[in-house]
Amino acid sequence: MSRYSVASLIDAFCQSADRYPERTALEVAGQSFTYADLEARAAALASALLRAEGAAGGEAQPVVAFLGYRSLGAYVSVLGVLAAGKGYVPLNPNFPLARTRTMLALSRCATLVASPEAAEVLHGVLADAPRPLTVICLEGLDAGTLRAAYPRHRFATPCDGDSAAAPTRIDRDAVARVSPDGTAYLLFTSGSTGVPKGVPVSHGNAASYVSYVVPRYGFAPTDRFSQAFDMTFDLSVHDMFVCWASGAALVSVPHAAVMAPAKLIRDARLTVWFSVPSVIMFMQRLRTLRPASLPDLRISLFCGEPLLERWADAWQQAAPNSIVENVYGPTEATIAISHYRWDPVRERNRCANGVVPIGTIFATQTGMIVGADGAAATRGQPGELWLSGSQVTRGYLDNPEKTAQQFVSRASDPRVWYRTGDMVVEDEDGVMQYLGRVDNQVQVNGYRVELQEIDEVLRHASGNDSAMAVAWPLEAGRADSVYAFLCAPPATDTAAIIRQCESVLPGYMVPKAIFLIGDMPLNANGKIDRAALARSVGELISAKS
Amino acid sequence: MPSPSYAEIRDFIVSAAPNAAARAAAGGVDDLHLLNAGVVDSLGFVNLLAAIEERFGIEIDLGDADPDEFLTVGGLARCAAAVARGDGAAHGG
Repeated sequence: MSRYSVASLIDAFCQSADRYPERTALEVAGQSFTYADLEARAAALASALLRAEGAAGGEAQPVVAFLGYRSLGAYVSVLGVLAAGKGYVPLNPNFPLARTRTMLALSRCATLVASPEAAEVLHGVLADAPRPLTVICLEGLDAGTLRAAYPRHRFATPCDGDSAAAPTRIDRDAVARVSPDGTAYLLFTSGSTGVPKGVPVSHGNAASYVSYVVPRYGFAPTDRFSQAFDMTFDLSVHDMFVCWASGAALVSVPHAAVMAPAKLIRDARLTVWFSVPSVIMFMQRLRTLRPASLPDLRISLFCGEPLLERWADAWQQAAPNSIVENVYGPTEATIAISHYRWDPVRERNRCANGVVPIGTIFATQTGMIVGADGAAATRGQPGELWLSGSQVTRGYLDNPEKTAQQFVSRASDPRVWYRTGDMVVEDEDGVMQYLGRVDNQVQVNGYRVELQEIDEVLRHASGNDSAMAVAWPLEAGRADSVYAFLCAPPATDTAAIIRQCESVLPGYMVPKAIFLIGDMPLNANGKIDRAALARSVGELISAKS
Repeated sequence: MPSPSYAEIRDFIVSAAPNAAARAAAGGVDDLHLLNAGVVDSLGFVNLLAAIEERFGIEIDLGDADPDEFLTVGGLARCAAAVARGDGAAHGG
């Protein structure tokens, strides 16, 4: 059997567009698009991007940002940017404007593709952009009006120029020339200094992931994939490109349905589901997850936060014809790098603290558990998970110091290892169990959060250095919410501080409440004891209510 | 005890979600989308549902309901009122 392989994300799409041009590639906002439809739109955008870059002069830009959300324009932006041989930088118009501006500035993108649902935010971005931008306006945005309002910036549309000559096919020669080392996408994760960290993921990294995952699960053109993850989250790359590599149909899940998707899964006849595990918890609480209610599902994957054993059980009962897998991986190691297939009969004794294991490292990648002494841990000894292989990225954008800390070599070992900061332990069969974070990074509603980043925003918003965020209730590195503590007088306007946090942080990072205290508890080393603060949250919430 | 009316439940939702009134359009709160308008997040919605169940002594089973329907103030009140009357896809407590 020949080994399945793609050279890049855009190569994966093009292979299917060649084989299945008339099959459905995308369903979004009630409309359906074939591979040929989507390719034509992506080809026109790629052509417009290259034309605009030529007109603007200067050096070729390695990455292009796009502003869009769960729309045809957002998907076309991803494909069009990749078809132009560039990497995409997803910007969510629902994020605070200040964060979007920061990401745009850090990415150093000179070109931005904008979708009509982002019109309002686009005005905010253009009004205060630190330098002139080239903006490609997708259908529904009026480039003429924008040009008149913002003469400092350049505006174009995919239809500019000789529309009859607009390409309808992505240039296959250009696809073949895509360098494996070039950036495929640039995402931002929470950073401890108060500034998000950019993680450039290369075409080679992403291709390694797709080449391993597609044959492993036996995805087929008849499959119908969910697309529930936000595009700023790298699990969306799996949704899009594992689907398109398989010649299957991608079904964009509307924001409201992400929380309670049972009806959508049935109505859209989905066969593949991928989301954070807490969706199961929400469905249980809303009583929408019933036994045998999701019979069409054949593959269900969960990632982004610990999968509780009782959630896996409930999903398996609802989807009796589906395999259920827990997958794990940091953005720095490209989407996911380990997996564990749930088997409620055989494997129950593997669950520690009621959490399904994160399993074993992909056969094409390498993992190592390193103990506190810096030596490889023996089986049964907890340690930090280090990762190496073709999925491991090269480091952080413009941040050599953080890169040197997290991407390391070992004596007499030339490989680069990424230190995940995740504590794991391996059982006698090599199955890994996730134990929590080494540092203060936690998962809040599936998003990775550095609490120090929130500390920094709180300090700035309150003008007070004695501010600290905690994740609560914290279980196995995962929490529902963030709360904050501030050493300040009782009359302090905490609502104003929270409002300021809302203007710069995404919702999941904004403290639900700020508790005013007299002194910060200190640990034995004289440092503020974050864990002690977290332990007091429950009591303080009860007292408040 | 008579079952609570749609209006009673809607008013309870507005009182339990203080941002609702402020974020509603001039036309009223009935069509306000609790999630999209940022009145509550996913967890907040679950908590709101629990508060309605506790206050009115009912169990709301959203079953096949459309999220775009039950995530509006009016839609959620309608679902809960139907349950309270005994003709919703749920169980009176």
